[in-house]
Amino acid sequence: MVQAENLSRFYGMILGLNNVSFTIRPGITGVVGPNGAGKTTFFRLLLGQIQPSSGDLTVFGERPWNNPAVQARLAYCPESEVMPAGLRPLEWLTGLGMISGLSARDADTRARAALNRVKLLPEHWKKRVTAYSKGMKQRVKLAQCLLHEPQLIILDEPMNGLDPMGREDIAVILRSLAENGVSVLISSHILHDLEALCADFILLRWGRIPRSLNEAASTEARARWPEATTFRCDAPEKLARFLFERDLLRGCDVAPETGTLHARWRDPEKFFGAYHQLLLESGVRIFEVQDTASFLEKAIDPTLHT
Amino acid sequence: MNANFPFPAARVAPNLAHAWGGIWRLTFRRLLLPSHWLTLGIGIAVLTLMFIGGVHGGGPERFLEWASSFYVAFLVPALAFMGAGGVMRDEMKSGNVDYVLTRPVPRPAFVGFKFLAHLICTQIDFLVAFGLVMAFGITRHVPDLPATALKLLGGQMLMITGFSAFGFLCGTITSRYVVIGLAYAGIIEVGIGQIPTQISRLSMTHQVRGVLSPLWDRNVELATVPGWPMTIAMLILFSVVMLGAAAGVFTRRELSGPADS
Repeated sequence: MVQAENLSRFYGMILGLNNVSFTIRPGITGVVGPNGAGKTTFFRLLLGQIQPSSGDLTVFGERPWNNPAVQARLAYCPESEVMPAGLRPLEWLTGLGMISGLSARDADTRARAALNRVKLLPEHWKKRVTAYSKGMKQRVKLAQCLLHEPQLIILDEPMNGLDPMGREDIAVILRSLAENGVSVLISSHILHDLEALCADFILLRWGRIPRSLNEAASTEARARWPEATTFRCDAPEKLARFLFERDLLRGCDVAPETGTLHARWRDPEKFFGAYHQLLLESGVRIFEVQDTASFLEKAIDPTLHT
Repeated sequence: MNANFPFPAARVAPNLAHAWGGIWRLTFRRLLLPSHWLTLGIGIAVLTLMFIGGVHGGGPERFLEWASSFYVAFLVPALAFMGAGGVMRDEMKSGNVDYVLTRPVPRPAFVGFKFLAHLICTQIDFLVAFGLVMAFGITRHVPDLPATALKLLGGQMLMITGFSAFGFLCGTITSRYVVIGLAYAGIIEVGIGQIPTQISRLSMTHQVRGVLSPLWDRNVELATVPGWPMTIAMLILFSVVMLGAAAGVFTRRELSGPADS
């Protein structure tokens, strides 16, 4: 679907993307990275709004720069909430649908269907889009992506401003699109949502795709046992001593006031292989066990590797 | 497109006629905004003050000189230029770039469609102002007002077309399009336009002012006045060149900067 080889983009002396290579397959792919990592540059290159400084990028087998044949097959939901003044959602979506090539009647029909699909209730259709709440704007922004049945949808922070139900609504739509063969590229700072949604990830940092980070977020890595675990229990010091005596811990933090032990494993497989038995033997009452950081958090935050 | 293309074709094929319809719809809606009507109302009030200040106590000839030289040959092109430059700057902001220019419309076609839609809306806006100017004309007892109005309207429409195209070009080039406009006005319209030779025809306002001058200047030598066909041809040529240049610049332009990354 999308292939990049040694792709770079600089803005004069400013780094956008630096020598990245990747392939995007059908399904939902998460794009993760801190602010300034190059996500928007990455998206703008895919959309054909800017040209690579060097390297090669193909979308649907063609170079995307200024290429209507590529644009006809993709859709973009920007992070920005700037929307045209004075337009109601149906008017706006119908106009956009026509620009994508639909007749006025088809555009109107599809605009209504898209607004219903994103669960924007018809009583809100009479308001101007600039008067919408953040969550409603996100729904309209997603609806405008669905009009022309694109094969690649690029979503930049589509979950911002949505409540948990709204995020679930969007996730259901994206999963259904992916099941129907649409590729979805999504960036979000809500990492747990991305983990639940995405099959693949591209991790960006300072305009690069560091191999170590992407290995940390690879499918194989996600199948591995967690590197660190937090226990809430009645005697965290006792549990720490017990685990240290069995040479299971590489390090730990104990917080008696909250009754927690944050354990960093020397060999996670050794602990999780005998998980139940070891905790029973410790004689400590365990209230909660959880992986300390999500694999995406661990992948993008190097301090969590230690 | 490659015949061996391994990916399925677009489910909705791009269609320029439909794209024009979409761009027209999105542009025309701006005419219906309350803020637009408020701006128009303020503009009409200012125009009334300008009329009172410029024609106070004068007869029909004073009015016709004001209408030709000030309204048609100065105010209309200046406002058309600023409006068109602003439209192109707006089109390059994220609210439009992200939604409109990610769709399958070739950039030259987009510039052409946007210009046409904007031109129609601007002509409609200025018809309101023109009606007011003609009402002023009635108060000054202008003889043969319908024929005079037709000529002034022709001049207005040509000025809007030419200077909207110029505004599109300048707006596409830079956000400081007004600076380019002022430089152009100083060099071409005020400078070269005042030279009493054929070179003054490079000034578009001079062209229109010349063709309208018999309305108010009884001493003008009709043999030296450019005809309407020549004036129309010059303004259309000017518009096409400006619009072509705007389309060329816009096609090569990248639509985001490092600030967005």
